[in-house]
Amino acid sequence: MKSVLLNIILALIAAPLLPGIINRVKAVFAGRKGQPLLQLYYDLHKLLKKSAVFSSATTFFFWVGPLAGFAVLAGSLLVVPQAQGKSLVQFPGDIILFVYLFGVMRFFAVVSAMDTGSSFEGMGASREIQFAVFAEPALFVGLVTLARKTANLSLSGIYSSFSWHDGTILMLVSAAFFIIFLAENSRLPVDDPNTHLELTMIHEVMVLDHSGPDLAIIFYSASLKLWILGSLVVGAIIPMHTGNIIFDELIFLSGIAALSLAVGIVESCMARLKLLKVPQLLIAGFALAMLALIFQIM
Amino acid sequence: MFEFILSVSIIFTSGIIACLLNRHPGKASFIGAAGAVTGSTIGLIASIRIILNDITVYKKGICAFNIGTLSTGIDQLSAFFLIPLFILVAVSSVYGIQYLKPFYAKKTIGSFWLFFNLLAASMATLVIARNGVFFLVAWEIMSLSSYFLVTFEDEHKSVRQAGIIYLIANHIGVMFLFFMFAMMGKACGSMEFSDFSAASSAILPVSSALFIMATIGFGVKAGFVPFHFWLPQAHPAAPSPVSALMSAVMIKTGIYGLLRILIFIGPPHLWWGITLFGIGLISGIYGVLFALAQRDIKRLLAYCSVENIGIIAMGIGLGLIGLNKKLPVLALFGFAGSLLHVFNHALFKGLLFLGAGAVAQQTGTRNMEILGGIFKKMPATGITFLIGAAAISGLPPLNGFVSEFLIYFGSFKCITVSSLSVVVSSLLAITGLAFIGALAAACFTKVFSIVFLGSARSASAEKAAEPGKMMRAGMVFLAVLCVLTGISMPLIIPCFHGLLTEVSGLAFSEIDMFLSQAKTTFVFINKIYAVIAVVFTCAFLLRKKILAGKIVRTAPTWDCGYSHPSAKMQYTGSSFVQPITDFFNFILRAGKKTELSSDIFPKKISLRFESQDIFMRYIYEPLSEKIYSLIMKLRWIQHGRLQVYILYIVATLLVLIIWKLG
Amino acid sequence: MLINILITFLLITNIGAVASSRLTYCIKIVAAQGVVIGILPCIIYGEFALLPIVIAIFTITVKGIVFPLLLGWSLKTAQVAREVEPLVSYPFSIITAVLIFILSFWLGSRLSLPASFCGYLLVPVAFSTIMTGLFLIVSRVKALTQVLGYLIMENGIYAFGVALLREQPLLVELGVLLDMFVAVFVMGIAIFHISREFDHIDTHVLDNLSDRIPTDIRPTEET
Repeated sequence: MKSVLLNIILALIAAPLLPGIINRVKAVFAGRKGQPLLQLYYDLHKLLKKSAVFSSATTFFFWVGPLAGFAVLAGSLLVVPQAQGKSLVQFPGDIILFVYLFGVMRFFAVVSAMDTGSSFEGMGASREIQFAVFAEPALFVGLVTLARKTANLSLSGIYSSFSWHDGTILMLVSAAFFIIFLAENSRLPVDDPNTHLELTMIHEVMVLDHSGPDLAIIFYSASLKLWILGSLVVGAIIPMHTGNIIFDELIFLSGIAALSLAVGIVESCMARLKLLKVPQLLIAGFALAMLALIFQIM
Repeated sequence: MFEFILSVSIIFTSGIIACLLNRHPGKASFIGAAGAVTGSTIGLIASIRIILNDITVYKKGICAFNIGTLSTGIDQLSAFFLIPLFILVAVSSVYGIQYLKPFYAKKTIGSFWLFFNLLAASMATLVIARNGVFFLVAWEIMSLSSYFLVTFEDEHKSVRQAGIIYLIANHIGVMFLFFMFAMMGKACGSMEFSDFSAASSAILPVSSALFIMATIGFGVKAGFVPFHFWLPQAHPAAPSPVSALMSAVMIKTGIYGLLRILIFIGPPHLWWGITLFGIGLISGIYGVLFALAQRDIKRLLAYCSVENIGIIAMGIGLGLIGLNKKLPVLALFGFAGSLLHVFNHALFKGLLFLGAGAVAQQTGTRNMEILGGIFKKMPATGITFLIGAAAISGLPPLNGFVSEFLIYFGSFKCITVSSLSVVVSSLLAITGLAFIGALAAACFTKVFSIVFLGSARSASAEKAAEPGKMMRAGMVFLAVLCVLTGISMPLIIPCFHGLLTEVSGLAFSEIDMFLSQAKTTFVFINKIYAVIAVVFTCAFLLRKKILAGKIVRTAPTWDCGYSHPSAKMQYTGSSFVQPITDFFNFILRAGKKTELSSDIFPKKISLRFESQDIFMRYIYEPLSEKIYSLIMKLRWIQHGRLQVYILYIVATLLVLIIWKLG
Repeated sequence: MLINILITFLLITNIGAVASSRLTYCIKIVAAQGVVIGILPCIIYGEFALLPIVIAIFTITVKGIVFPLLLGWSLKTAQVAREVEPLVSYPFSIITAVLIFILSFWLGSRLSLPASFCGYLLVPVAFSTIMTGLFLIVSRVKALTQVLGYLIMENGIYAFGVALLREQPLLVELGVLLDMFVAVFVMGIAIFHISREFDHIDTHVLDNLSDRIPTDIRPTEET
C-alpha cells in the first residue's frame, strides 16, 4: 500500500522528466547539446507565473477542458499498475474504466480545441478523434488477450501475474501497446511534438490558443499521460517481480526511463508518417494484438 | 393495476378534451400536456413502486384481471419499460407546450395533442396488454397516431414522403407480428399471454419460426439494420417533442415485444443469440457511421438511434448466447446491460432530440454546417446537450457508460471460457463496442462543437436565443437524470433483481451473485469518480488562485498571421469527420462532387458531399419501383364504377359463403 | 519457447509484407522471413545433426541472401520504388492478413495430423504464410510484388514441409527450392524485359496480350 502510494507520488513528481529524457536523446542523436533534462519543470514554472489570454470566441469549455483532462488522468493513475504490477485501487473491470477515462480526456481536449473556432485546432481535433477510432479497439484487444491469459479483470491483477513463460504473447501485446503509446502520446511516427505550425500536427496544434496556467496543465498532463501509458508498456515488456520492493521499484523506473530512451531513438531515426498512413500503423497494432489473442486462444 | 388504468385514461381523455378545444390552441396545449403529465406521474410512481416492491417481497407483482379479452397485467418487465415511457411523455409534453407556440396560427393544435396523448396512452397500453389481439390493437393505434404526428407539418413534401415511408415500414412489420401471434395462438389455442407461458411445450416446435418473425416484426419498429430505413426519414420530419418520444420510447416497444416473446418461446437456440448479436453489431457500426456523415442534426440523431438499438440488441444477443451456453454471467450482464441501455438511451436520446429541437426552432435550420457559436446565446441548452452528447458517447460518469460497461464486463468475464462461439462473440462485443464508442465520440464532439462552439457561421445562428422556460425545464430534468443514473448505479442495480429473473429465468442465487458483483464494481467506480472530482476541484481552485491577481486579456483566436479571418474559415462538421468518412467510404458510399477552378485566381469552387442510406439506395428503392410497376398492371381492377365495386363485394361474399358451407 | 518466437516473427513478417508499399522494404522483409524459415529446421529437429544444419545454411543463403540480391537488382534496373495503387488498400490488406491467419488456424485445427508434428502452431502459420503469399499475388499490381508474394508462398510451403521434417525426406524441399530458384530467375528476367519494353513493370500492360480487346485501346475508327 505504502509503496503504491509512493509510486503515485513519484509519477506525479517525476513525469515531466520523461519529455526531458526524450529530448536529450534526440539532441545527442543530432549532435547537439540539447535542453536541460529538467526543461519542462522550468517551463511549467514559467507558465504558472504568467497570466492567460483567451480568445473572444471561447466559452468556459476552453479552460475546463485541460483541468478535466488532468483530473481524469489523476483518476486513471489510481488504477494503472506500476512497480510490481500493483495499483492503489484494484477491482475487476477497471480495465474498461481505464480505457474510457482516456476517452473522457480526449473528449474534453477536442471540445476545448474546437471552442476557439480556429481551423487549425479543428484540424488537430479531427485527427485526434480519428486515431482514437483505431487505437481504442486495438488497446481493448490487447487487454482482452492479457485478461484471458491471466484470467483476471483488473489491470493490476493482470500485470502482477505475468511470468516470463508468456513470452510470445507479451512480446506481441507490448509491441501493440507501444504503437498505441506512441499514437496516444502524439509521439513521432504519428505526430511531431516539436512543431505546431505545420498543418500536419495533432496534439500541439490543438492547444495553440491555450496560454499561461492552462498551457502548464496541458503540458503536465501530457507528461503524466506518457508515464501512465508507459507503465502499461513497461509492465508488459518486463514481467518481472522479484518480490523485493526496492528491486522492483528500480526495475520499473529504469523500464520507464528505457522506454523514454526508446521513444527518443524512434524519434531520431524515423520520419513522421503521412497522415493517411497513421490508421494503417494503428491497424497494424490491432493486428499484432489480434495475433497475440489468437495465440492465446490456441 | 388500477393506477395504470387510471393513468392511461387520464392521458387519453385529456387528449380528447384538447381536441375538442381546438379553437383555443393555448388551452388545448395546456389540457393536453397537463393530462399527460398527471397521467404519467401517477403511472411513474406506480411503476417504480412495482419495481421496488419486488425487491423486498421477492414476489412477482402481477395483478391481472380480465375485461373480456382486454386482459392487462403488470410485471417487472412492463414496469421497467413504463418508467422511461412515463418520464419521456411528461417531459416532452411540457416541452411541447412551448414548442408548439409558433404553430398556433397555422396548425390545429388540438389534434396534435389528441394524437400525442393517444400515442402515449397506446404505448402504455401495449406494455400492459396481456392478450395478443389487444396488444396488436394498441400497437396499431401507436403506429397510426405516431404517423399523424410525424406528418404534423404536412405542408412540406419531404414530411409527407417521410410519413408514407414510415407508414409502409410499420405495416410491413405489423404483418409479421400478425403472423407471429396467429401462430402462437394456434399453437396454444388462445391469445392470452398467460396461456402462452403455460403452453411452452406447444410453442417449442415452432419457436424458431416465431423468433424469426418477432425479430423482423419488432425489428422494424426498433430499427434494426436492415429495417432501419424509416428512422432517418421520420425523425427529422416529426416535431421535436414527437421525435424525442418516438426515438426515446416508441422504438423501444420493439425491444419490449422482442423480450416478451423471447420469454414465451422458451430456451433459446444458439443461433438466435448469434443472429441478434450480429444484427446488433451491424446496426451499431452502420448507425454510427451514417450518423457521422449527416449534416441534418435530427437525421444524425436518428441514425444514432439505430446505433444504440444495435448496442441493445448486442446485449440481448449475448444474453441469449449466455443462456444457451449455461453461462449465467454472460446472460445476466448481457440482459442487464441492454435493459439498462434501454432506459439510458431513452434519457439521453430524448434529451438530445429536445436540444436539437430547441436549436432548430431558435435558428430556423437543422443544418449543422451553418450554425456555430450558439453556446453563448443558449447556455442552458448547450450544457444539457453536452451532457447528452457525452452520455451517448458512453463516457463516464454519465449513464451511457454504465450500460455499456455491463456489456463489456460480461464479455470480459467470458473471454476465458473454452467455447469458441462465446469467445468470438465476447471479443466482437468488446472491440465492436470500443469501435462504436470511439465513432460515437467523434460524431458527438462534431455535433456539439460545430453547433455550439466557435463563432456563428450564418445570420440564423447569430439570432439564436435561449428557448422558453418550459423547454429548458424538460432538458435540464433529463440531463440531471442522466448524471444521476450514471453515478447512482450502486443503488439502482439491486432493483434489477425481479426484472432479470423474469427475462433470464435464472435462479435467484445466480442473480444475487451477479447483482452483488455489479454493485461492488460500481461502488469502486464511484470512488474513482470521487477522486477525480476532488482533483478537479483542487485544480480549479488552484487555477483560480493563480489567475486571481493577474490581468486576463481577451483577444481574437490566433489566426496564424492571416489578417481577415472569417467565421466561414472555421472547420466545418464535414471536414471534422472527413478523415473517418473517407476511410469508411466503402461502407458509406458517399457521393462527393468537387468543382475546382483551374484559373490562377479561382472564382468559385464547390464541394458537395452527399451520403444516402445504402439500403435505401440499393435495395428498397429498386424494390419499391419493381413493386410499383407490378401493381400498376393491376390498375384495371379499379374502374371507379360503383357497380363493379358492388360486384366485388358480392363475389367475395359468395366465395366466403361457399367456402364456409362447402 | 524459441520456436514460438520464430513463428511469431514469421507472422509479423507476413503482416509487414502486406502492409508496406516500399518495395525495398518488402524485399528486406522477405529476406528476413527467409532467414527465419532457414533457422526453423535446426530447432524443429531438436538434436544436433548435420542434415538440418546443411539445409539451414543452404536455405538461408538462397532465401536470405541470393534472392533478395537478385530482386534488389531487378528493382534497380526496373526503377520502381513503390507499389502505388494496390488493388486492396493497405489497411485492409493488414486486416485480411489477420483474417487469413484466423482462417488457417481453423483449418489447422480441422486437419488430423500425425502426433509427431513439432510445434502445433507451425502448421497454421505455414498455411497462413502460403495464403498471404497468394493474397499478395492477387492484390498487387507490380510484377515485383507478385514475385515477392510467390516467394512468401514458397516460404509457407517450406515451413509446412519443415513441420514434417522427421517423416519426410528433404528431397522434396530441395526440389521446391530448385523450382523457386529457376522461377525467380525467370521472373527477374521477365521483369527486366517488361520494364525495358514498357518503361514500367505494371502487369496491367500484360492485359493487352489477351484475346479480348481491352476497351481503352480498342482501335478507333480512322478518319
